[in-house]
Amino acid sequence: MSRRRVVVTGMGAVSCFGLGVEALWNGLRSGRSGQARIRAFDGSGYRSPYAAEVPAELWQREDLALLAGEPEEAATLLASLAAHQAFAEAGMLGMPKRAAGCVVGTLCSSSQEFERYCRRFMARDALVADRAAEAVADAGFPDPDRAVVSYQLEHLVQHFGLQGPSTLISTACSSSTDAIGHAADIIRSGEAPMMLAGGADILTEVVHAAFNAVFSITNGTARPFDASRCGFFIGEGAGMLVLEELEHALDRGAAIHGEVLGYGLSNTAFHLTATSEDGSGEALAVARCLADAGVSAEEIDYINAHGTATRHNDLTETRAIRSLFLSSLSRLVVSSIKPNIGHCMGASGALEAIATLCCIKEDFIPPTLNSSGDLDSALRIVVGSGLSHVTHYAISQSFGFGGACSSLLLGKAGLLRAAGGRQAPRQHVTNPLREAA
Amino acid sequence: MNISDAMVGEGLAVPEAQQVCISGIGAISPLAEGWPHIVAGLAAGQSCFEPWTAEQDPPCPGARLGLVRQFSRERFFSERQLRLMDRAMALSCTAVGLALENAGLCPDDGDLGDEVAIMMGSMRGELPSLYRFGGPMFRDIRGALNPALFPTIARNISCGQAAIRFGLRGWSSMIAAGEISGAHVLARARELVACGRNPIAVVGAFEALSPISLHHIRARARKFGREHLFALGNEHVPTEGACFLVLESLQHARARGIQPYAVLEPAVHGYVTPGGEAVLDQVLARQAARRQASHADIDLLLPGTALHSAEAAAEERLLGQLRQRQAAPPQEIRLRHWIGDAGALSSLFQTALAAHLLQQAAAGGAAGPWPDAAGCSAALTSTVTDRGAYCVNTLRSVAASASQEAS
Repeated sequence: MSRRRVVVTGMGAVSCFGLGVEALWNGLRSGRSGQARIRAFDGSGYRSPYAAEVPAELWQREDLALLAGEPEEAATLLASLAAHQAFAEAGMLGMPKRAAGCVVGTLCSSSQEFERYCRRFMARDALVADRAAEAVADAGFPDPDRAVVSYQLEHLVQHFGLQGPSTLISTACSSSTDAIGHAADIIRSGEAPMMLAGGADILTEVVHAAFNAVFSITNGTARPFDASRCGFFIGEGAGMLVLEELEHALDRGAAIHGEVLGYGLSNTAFHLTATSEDGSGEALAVARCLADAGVSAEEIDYINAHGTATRHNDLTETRAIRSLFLSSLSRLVVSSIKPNIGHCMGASGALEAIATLCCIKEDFIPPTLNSSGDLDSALRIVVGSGLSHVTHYAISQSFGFGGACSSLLLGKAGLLRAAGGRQAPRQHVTNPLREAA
Repeated sequence: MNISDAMVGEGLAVPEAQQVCISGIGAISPLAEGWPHIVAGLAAGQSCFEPWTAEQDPPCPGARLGLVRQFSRERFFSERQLRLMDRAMALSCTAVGLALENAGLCPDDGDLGDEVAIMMGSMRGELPSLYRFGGPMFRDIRGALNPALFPTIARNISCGQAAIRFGLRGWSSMIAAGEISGAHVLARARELVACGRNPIAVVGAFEALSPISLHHIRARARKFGREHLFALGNEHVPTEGACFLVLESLQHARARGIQPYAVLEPAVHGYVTPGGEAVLDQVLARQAARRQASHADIDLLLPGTALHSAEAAAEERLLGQLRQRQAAPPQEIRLRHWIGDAGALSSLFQTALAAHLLQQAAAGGAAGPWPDAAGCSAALTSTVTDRGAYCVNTLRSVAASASQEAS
């Protein structure tokens, strides 16, 4: 018996390029960057005053807030807008979706609300000199549910009427890659025929200040896989995908953007914040993803890299790619879109998965901005003005704090290897670098 | 066009590669540290609750809470490691070590390898550290953030710490979906083992209390009109702790010569959206289909920690059929009065106790303030939240599972 196949029938995005997948893809394809001086707070005191924020007018448009179900939290607004687009594209807006579920991934969602809560809490300490003042002191707190991260999930399921299996993943910067894989698993296991998957994050001063303090933020431009790279800038946005069981999508005549073929996770078990030195922990997630899909490393045409442009990440990621794709390095191409849209934290995986699907559809890989790709001459980093490149199979990978590694294998729509689909057995995958050693 | 409901409730179209058992339990609660001590404490009727202190700003006279006063964090971690760990990390990672030890997996080896997944869930475990890290900024003191505390604001940082200490390079994830997180992560880890991705998964939940999280709990209680429950003995008692289970393929456990507690079956979870309460009528049928058995064998019922009348009504709607349809209604154990309101942790305690009782049932039952579980072969745990989330898990005794396998 074959396992269920999972296809993408809708995509929605909000990024520094504005609303929509088309805006995102046009920005990437034309090699633009949304990096600009920070508007959300005064960034002048930091090592870097730059980020890639969503267009300012988006926060003020009442029509958009209404479409999104008027969530009272910024990242949730972005998530809901992207979900709205994804359902619209899937032909599901206004249709009952009670059997569908939702898996979202985020790091910073609700953190602004929690900050407001904390500020109010600190002020309250001063007010409560006696119990009589308590009623006054307890006023003015934000809604407690908006101050915790699960608000994003709860808003989406309520607003879109999703009653299927739904949850929220928070594995730092790999959150939404993990979320898409988890949602695909739910469809494969027969628990739901359709899932909304992705994530949203916003720029917050706490996270910007923290990454500045640990020197991960560049005070210039982000240059992934360049020998002179010196970090990233933070982005914000949302990426949402409608995943659907293949037969279900075909039965209702849905347009198919691509297929989710495999998914792999690992923990590097190496350091709380740094990537593993030799790339073995990262490679393990990708190897598991390949095994899950039943696709060989030689068949992979493109990798949308995590590519943060930090000293550690790019070195480790290069080693991981070399170890797994050694025999196909001459044809495999790699790029990073973080110089365009910034590092969107927990949402980066979902936006990168959408960009990867666009690459697969268009057989075009946008350039890695600002990079000469000279970190490792064995890797074909796409630079310059991009590359026309026939892409059947592509990997989108994300790594994060806590040793979190997550990898997705996406394929071209309609690409059938065998009647009935792939028969890939899920298998235990050992560490490729360890085996080589 | 509606999306089809056809696939929901048809059970597992793909036979799962592995039966999944619980082979280890590690827990830290206000009552005790280590599962055997917790169970012994429960059996002896010990109380683990204490009054809120003035510093904690009690919601009313008589309010109580459950704090973990001490635990042996230094047992698995060096002083240097502990300096970098917040309370949530220390609680969760120590409980992981206890669970591995309980499963006979020698945590002191420090490298359990690529075979072991690490999965965690929490409702608000990160709030104390986020408050601490962001404190200077929230007071408008620029440049005073402590970079050493930065890692603690990532919710999955405990997964990383446990992975480093015990060498867990398997699948790894963190769920933060409110109270339901514990039930979700348990279901997720079970699927990973069932489909053969990792033969072993360490899965659990944790919560850590602090003035900010206690204030948040009070604020939610106020929002849902249940603040008065703080005054009623054990009705609303915030607690903290950690509870982790070792899930393992039954085959793998047998090969290691381990006697598992119980077999964990597929879960069903979802959300109730406005006007969609009827979904609760179908949950048990979907769950029975997923476990490929009717619920006629359920003889232990461990409902969740529903506080609010709407939650209780939803839970009754969900479980009412089970109570009504069986010739002998299942025996019920409500844990909340013993363990308090432990957020995401509650589901893990429910499951751990169910597994423990099923294991003991074969030996004539376990003494304690619960109904006699002698001869019980299957248990059902449920979680229903005030935000519309629900999750149902079932466990079967190893003996019952073997007879089902044979038949």
